Amino acid sequence: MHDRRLRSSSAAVLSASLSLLAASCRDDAEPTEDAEVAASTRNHLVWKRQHALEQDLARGLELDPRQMCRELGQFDCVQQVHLMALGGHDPFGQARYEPAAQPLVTTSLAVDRLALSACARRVELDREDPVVFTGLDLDAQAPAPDSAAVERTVTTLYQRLLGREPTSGEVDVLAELVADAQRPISGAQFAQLSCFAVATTTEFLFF
Amino acid sequence: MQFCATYPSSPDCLGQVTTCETCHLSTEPASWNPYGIAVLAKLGDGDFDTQLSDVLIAIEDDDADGDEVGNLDEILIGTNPGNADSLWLPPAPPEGPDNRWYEVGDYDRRFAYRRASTLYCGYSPSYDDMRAFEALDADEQSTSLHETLALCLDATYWTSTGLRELADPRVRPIYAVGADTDVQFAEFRLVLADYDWDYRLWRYILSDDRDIRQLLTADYHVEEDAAGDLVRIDGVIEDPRIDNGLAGGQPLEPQHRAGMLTTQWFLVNNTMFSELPRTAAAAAYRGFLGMDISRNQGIMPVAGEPLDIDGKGVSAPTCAVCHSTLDPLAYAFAYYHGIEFPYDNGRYDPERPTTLIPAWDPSRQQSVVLGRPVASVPEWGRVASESVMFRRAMAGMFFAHALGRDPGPAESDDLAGLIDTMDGDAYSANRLIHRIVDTPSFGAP
Repeated sequence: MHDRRLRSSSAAVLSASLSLLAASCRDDAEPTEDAEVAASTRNHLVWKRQHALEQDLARGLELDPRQMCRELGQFDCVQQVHLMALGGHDPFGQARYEPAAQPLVTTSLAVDRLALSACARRVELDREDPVVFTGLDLDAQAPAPDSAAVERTVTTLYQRLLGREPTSGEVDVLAELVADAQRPISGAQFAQLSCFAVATTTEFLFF
Repeated sequence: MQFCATYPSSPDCLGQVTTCETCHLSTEPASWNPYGIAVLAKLGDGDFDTQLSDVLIAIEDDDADGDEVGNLDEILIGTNPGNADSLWLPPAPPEGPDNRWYEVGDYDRRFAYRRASTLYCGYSPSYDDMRAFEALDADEQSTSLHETLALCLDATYWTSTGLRELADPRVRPIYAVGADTDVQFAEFRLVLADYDWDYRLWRYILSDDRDIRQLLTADYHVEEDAAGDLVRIDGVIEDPRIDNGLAGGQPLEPQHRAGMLTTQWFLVNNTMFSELPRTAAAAAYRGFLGMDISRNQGIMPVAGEPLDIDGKGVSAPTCAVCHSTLDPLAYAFAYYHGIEFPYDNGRYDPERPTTLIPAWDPSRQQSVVLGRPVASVPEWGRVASESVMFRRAMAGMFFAHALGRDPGPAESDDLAGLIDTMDGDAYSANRLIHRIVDTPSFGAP
C-alpha cells in the first residue's frame, strides 16, 4: 500500500511538473495571462544557494530551519549532509574553500530531498495547528480540482514561496494533482505534493 | 605590456596584465596560437620591442582563429583572438509581446530588489514586501531598494556569514592547527595560529564604509566584544597559550604589519618553513591583486631575475618566466617567520634571510611589486593597495558574488565603472555594493 501510494505520488508530481513546463512553452494564439511573452536572452539567473534556500523554505512555510530536514533524524540536511550539493562550502571541516561554481549532479536530488522534507514537516505540523494549509482537511480526501480550497492552497503556496499570485494556468496545473478520480489522494498528499511542486520550480530555485 | 599600451580599453588590460595565453599555447618550450603566429609572421625580422604595437595594429582586421570575429573586436570585448573556442556574441534583443512580470532587457527594480535581498539579507522578500514595493513609484522603489540593501549590509547574515564566505579562499583555514584544535604535539596543543583574527579583520574592514585598502595596510587587529560587535585594538597580541596551545596571538609590532598579509595565520599557512616565502607572496598577489602566477597571470618580469638565491633551480627556462616576477615579490616576506617552533610563528626577524639563505645580499635582493621597488611588506601592501589591480580584484570579487559567476564581456563596462568609482567612494565595500545593485548587469533580467 505504501509503495503504491509513493508511485502514485511520484506520477502525480511528474505529471504536474510536465504540465508546468508545457504551460510555460505552449504556443497559444489566444492571448491569456499565461500566453508566451518576451523572454530574457541574457542567460542571467543566479543559483539560490544553501542559506537563502533554507531561509526561503523556513520563512515561507514557517518552520524552524533546524527541524526542516534531518538525515537519520540527526544530521542537518543543509548545513551538514548536503551542504556542497546545495551550493555551500566548508572551509573548516572539509578544507573546501570555495563553493561549486554550478549546480552539481546531486544538487537536484538534494533540493528534492530538502523541499519534500520541509513540505512534509509543514503538513505534519498543520495537522495540529494549521498555518499554511488552512483551507484543507488534511485527513480527508483532497478537494475537487475546481474547488475554492485547491485554488486557495495553490495561491497560498505561490504567495509564500514565490512572493506573487499564481496565474490561472498555474492553478490549473497543480489542480491536476487531484484530477484523477481513479487514483484519489488525500488532502495531506495534495498539500505536500503541491508544496513540493512549487518549491522545486526554477523560479524558486534561481533568482 | 605593449599589448595593453596599444589596447588600454581591452578588458584584459583593465586592472590586470595580459596573460601569455593571448599569443602562446606554451611559453616553455615556446609555441604560439594562431594569433601569436600571425604576430610573428607580420613581425618577420623586425624588432619585437619597438615594432610590436605596429604589428598588432596591422593585423587588427584579420581573424586569426577563424571564429568569424575579427582580432580587434575580440581584443576589445575580452575574448582571445587566438582561440576559436573563446567567443562571445551579444545576447539577442528580447522578442515577443510585453512581459508583464519582468522588464526584460531593461533594469527591473522588482528583480533587483528581490535579488539584492536574497544575496545580502540571505532570504527573498516576502509576498507582503513585494506588494509594498510594487505600490511605490519608480523613485520611491529606488530609494526603498537602497534602504533595504543598507539594512542588509549591516545585518548579521552579511557581516558574519556573507563576508566570511568571501574570505575563505584567502584565509584558507585549517581546523587541525587552528585555535580550537585538539591535536597534540608532544605536551603542546598544536595551535599554529588563530585564523579568527584574519576573519575578524576582513569583516571589520569590509563593513561600515571602512577603507578596504586597509586589507593590505592595517597595523591594528580586531576583536569581537561581548555584544558581538567588532572592535579595533592596537599593539601586539601575545599568544594566549590556552590549554598549552603553541600560538594564537598576533606577535608583530605595528610597524611590521600589513593587514591581511602579516597575520600570524597568513605567515604560518603560506610561509611555513620556506627560506624564501614564494607561496606567501603568490597568495598575496592572487588573493588581493587578482593575479594567479601559477596560471601565468600578472607576469611582470624584473630585469636580472630570477637570481635563484636559495638554489631551488628556478632560473631554469621553464621556471624563469614566472619566477622573474615571483621571486622579487617574495623577498620582502623573507624577514617574517612562518612556522618556527616553539614560539616564534609569524614573528619579524631582520636576521632571518641571512640566517637561512647564505647567499642573501640585502643590496641585491630588492623586492619589487607591480614594477615598483619596495623595502618592506608594509610598503608592498601600500603599493598594492593603491593599484588598479587591487581595485579590480576587489570590485571583481563583489561583482562575481553578485552575478553568481565571473563577469563576462557583457558586463565589462559595468565592471570598469565600478573600478573607476571606488576612489570617489572612499574605497567603501558597502558603497561598491550599492553601485553593483544599480548596474544593468545586476538588475536587468
